[in-house]
Amino acid sequence: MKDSPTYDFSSSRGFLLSSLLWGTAGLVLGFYLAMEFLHPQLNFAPWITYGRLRAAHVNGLAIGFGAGTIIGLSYYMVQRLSKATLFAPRLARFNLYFFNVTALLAVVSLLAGMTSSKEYAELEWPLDIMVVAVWVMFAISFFGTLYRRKEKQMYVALWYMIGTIVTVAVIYIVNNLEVPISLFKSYSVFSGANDANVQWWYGHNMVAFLFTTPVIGFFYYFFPLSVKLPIYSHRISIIGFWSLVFAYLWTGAHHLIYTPLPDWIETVAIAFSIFLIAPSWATVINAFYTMNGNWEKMKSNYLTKFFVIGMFFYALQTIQGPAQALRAWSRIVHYTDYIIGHVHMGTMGWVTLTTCGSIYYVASKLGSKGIYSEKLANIHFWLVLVGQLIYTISMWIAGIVQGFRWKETGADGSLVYAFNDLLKFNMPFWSARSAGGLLYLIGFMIFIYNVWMTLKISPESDVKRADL
Amino acid sequence: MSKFMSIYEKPALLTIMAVIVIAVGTIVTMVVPLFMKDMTPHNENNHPYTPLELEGRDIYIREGCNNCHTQTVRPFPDEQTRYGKVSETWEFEYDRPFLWGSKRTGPDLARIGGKYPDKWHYEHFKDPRSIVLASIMPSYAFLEKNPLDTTYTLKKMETLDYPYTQNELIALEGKTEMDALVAYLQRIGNTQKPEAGTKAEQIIPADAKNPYSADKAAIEKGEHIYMEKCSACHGKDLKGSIGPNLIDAEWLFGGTERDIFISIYDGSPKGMPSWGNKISNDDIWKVSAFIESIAAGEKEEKAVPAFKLPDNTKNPFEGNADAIKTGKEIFLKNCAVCHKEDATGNIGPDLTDEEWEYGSRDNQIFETIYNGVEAEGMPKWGKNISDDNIWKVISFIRSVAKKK
Repeated sequence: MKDSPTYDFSSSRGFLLSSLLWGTAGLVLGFYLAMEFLHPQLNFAPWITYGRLRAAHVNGLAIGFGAGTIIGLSYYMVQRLSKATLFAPRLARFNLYFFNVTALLAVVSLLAGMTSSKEYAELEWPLDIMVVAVWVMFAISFFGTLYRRKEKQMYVALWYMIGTIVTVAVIYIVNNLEVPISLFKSYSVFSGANDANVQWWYGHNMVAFLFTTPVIGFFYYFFPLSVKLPIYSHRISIIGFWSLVFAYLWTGAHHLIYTPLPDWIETVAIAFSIFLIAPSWATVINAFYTMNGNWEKMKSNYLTKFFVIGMFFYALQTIQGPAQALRAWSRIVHYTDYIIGHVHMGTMGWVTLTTCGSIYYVASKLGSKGIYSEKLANIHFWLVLVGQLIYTISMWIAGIVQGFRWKETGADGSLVYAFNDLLKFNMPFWSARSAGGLLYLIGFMIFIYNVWMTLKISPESDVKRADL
Repeated sequence: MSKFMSIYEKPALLTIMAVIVIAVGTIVTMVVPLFMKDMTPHNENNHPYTPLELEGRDIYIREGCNNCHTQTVRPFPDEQTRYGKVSETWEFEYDRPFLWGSKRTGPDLARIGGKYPDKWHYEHFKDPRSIVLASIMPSYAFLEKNPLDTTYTLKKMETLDYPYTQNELIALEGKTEMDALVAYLQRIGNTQKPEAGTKAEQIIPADAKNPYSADKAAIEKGEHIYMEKCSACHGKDLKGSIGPNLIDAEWLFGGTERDIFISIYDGSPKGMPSWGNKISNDDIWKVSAFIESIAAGEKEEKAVPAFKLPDNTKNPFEGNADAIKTGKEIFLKNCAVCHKEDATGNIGPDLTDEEWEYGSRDNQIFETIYNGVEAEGMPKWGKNISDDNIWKVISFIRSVAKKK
């Protein structure tokens, strides 16, 4: 015990609590957006029209919840895995405040119509700089701690975080290269087809390195700790890591199939998208083999199901995604609600189940008395699971029907369905989506309450102690 | 193996390795294309945005229109029918950022330019559901109240290196945000020449008759289609609003059953969309049967047929100097308000050029003046000006046209 370092988890806790706040805000905006499909009158002021609100929803969740949990959980993992205290804790503390200011200004500026229009990169240039600053401060704390480590080997979770930190930095900066006109307006340095190609190289790798690699990192760290089982194969995790980070960067153009982009770029992207099944499923297989013979833990340990079912959705997601990249399937489902279902299975299924499981674990470690209520955690799990399934399945059905009906022609070659006929068809599915989203939101609120109560029973002094 | 494994003991080495690994795909699929010509082809038909269009485009971006509307037509027959010609790379040369979008909650807009008249867009932005009943688009009435902010227009044009004239900048004075947005929409996809798709002439026999003229059930179905797809522009009472009156017995493009079919099938460049293949040919006949059934009822009430002259009637005052002088006086008094003193057009069309919308023969010009063009606001002058004086006005118009 004498050699044990003193950990500093206060910034970690701050980031996690902040991310829960932004998560709630993002989900509430998402629910409102879903309602706008049913009642267009809800677009009653410029600030909350669908076109502006959607960007606020996406960025609120990607930056506020996504980046917030990545930084918060990384500050925890990197200290534990290095057996070293956080490097420059005051910088981390400043970063926490700066992060929240950035997230707030991000949402407000998007609602005000300051946008560069590029998906997941909507923020205008002053906010881009703030986001990069948050990330650089995160990187300094992370690598600084890593250099203090007393453990010689870096565990696989840390590789995934390293991959996340460098790749997000590269893609974010390149895609946001723009010429400022004023504080609120800029133009992309790329134009036309190049701009599209750069954007989706970025867009797909934002999905990869904000919603996949860090979450796999969480999984490799918090899953074995939570279920108290060793990971099945270290070798699979090595192969999985390198092949995943290699292949992802080739696949962006599968978002642009049948657009005026040269065919070869699309074809290369499709080929690598299919290849991606291999590294993705390496992680899946590693996870399920770890559970092999221990499935009773699904019942006996409340955290197990968050990770296992989360991984199940990752498995599904990484089959669905490559399938969508195929020209034959893309021509049907691209531009429809099917894609919305796909994205939300990834985020509401895989990402948040795994992240919430990890946060439960950290919270119960930071709170000296363990989790506040396992029962509430179970209710949370079932609400978000059912909510997500209602959401995604209704969007898949709506999207597939939409895709086929857009193409349907009659005997004389005329279109059978007008565009508006399918708006009417989608209405019940959009209603179901709202209901699913509401269940999910309620589940998330229960999660926050549970985490809050767990942390509340741990005084500040507990957060800085040697033996957790 | 252990030597290789040492990479997992060195954070800097691992980081460098990771950067190299992600760089490969990045360079091949993203960096290399930046230097390839087929990513940025130029076409002489393409041209940069005007100041008004650029400001409109920035409003399109600000309001996040790209979240629901794509701007690329894919190479499928259904999309070509629904939207128009397949998008090509050169069309986007001046687009910073690109606005291809990723979701079609609303229809694709790659070929929206010129599809509808300006007035359609104004009405639609103010109250989308007044035009498209099932629409879930937000109302953008506030754009009409916001004056266009031109603080940075000049800087934008200079930064993007787009050509502009002082007049174009001055013309922004007094414009609203909606004016700019409509100007942008009318520009989208317009540099592309429209595709020579199927024209009604190719599928309809010369002696085609409406098979549903007296079919009650078909007329009812036609009414249903009309109310959903046509009434927003031609009025629920068919008396016109954005588009012309359909029951005043004046047909701009011919009034036979076959002509009406062709008008609906092909649309018109003045802002009537082409309905060919968007609804079945059968449905086109049913809609026209419905229109005819209403028009027939109207006709009984006020059957004033348009005045017609024999096809080769010549102007008796052609070239007569006195007549031209009188014609000019009459023209200045009655016609110059719309067609301008020199007849080069203002509210009404230019009369000195080669284009005659309603026919260039003497008798056709006479008929146009005599009968007026109600849909365009041209009065029926036959009631107020004597036949001789109409001929003299024509002499005057011919004289200024010749001088050109």
